[in-house]
Amino acid sequence: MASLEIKSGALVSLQDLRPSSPFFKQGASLRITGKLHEYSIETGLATIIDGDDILKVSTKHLRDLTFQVGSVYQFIGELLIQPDNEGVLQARVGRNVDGIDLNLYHQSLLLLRQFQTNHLNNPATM
Amino acid sequence: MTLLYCKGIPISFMEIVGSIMLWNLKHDQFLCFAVDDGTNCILLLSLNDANSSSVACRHHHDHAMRFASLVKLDIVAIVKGRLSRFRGAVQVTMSNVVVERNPNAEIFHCLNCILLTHNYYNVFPGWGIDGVMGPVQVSGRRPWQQRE
Repeated sequence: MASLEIKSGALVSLQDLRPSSPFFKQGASLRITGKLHEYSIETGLATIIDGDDILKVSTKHLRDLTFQVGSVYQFIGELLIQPDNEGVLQARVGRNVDGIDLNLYHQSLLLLRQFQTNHLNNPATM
Repeated sequence: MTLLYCKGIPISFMEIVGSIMLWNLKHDQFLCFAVDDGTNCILLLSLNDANSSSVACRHHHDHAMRFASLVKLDIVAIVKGRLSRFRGAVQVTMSNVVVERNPNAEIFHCLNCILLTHNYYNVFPGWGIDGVMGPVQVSGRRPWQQRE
């Protein structure tokens, strides 16, 4: 069996995807969660929001996913930074996560990042 | 064979909750998934040989067929299995798969893993989540776990 080439999508919030952020890199594999603001069937582009932050998502690779404005979705894919420095996520996996507790989600993100930082600082413990 | 240690404690069995990223069924060989939980992506394997003379292998085949019918791309699943290694890469041999529909399941699992590392493996003495989540309860329901 060939070695696994699928990258893990790093958990990020939409506010982590500003141009000044270390996550804002061409081709970065990311996992994002947000409420669907608008969706265009013609272009296959979805816009999701989380608070004041907005991100466009290309859905051309997705199958069997129904889009409903106002619902919460989670996408995993690669970030494509366009010439005008706007990021568009090329989603390869997506799902509806209505019912998710977004406050708890952000708290767990904070905890996980803190945990990973400590873990990386103590490699001898694993 | 034990592959991994955490603070000297051997780890041979694991449970992962994540999104299915890859689904590959080879009849009479294997069924494999790749599961992404947000921190890493790991390959899960189930052997699949219906014609083997071994009862155990045919049993594995029956499990593989059940797993294959349950799982598809994009869903979130709870997968349990034994750690193994193939050509240097760690993988998991599946023993059970459950499809998870609670949208908060991954959050709960992530928090429980951090708690497990803190309380059981004691990886980071003095590191705690009190400042963020409040006191850790040793027994009873965790503050973030919803009542059904």
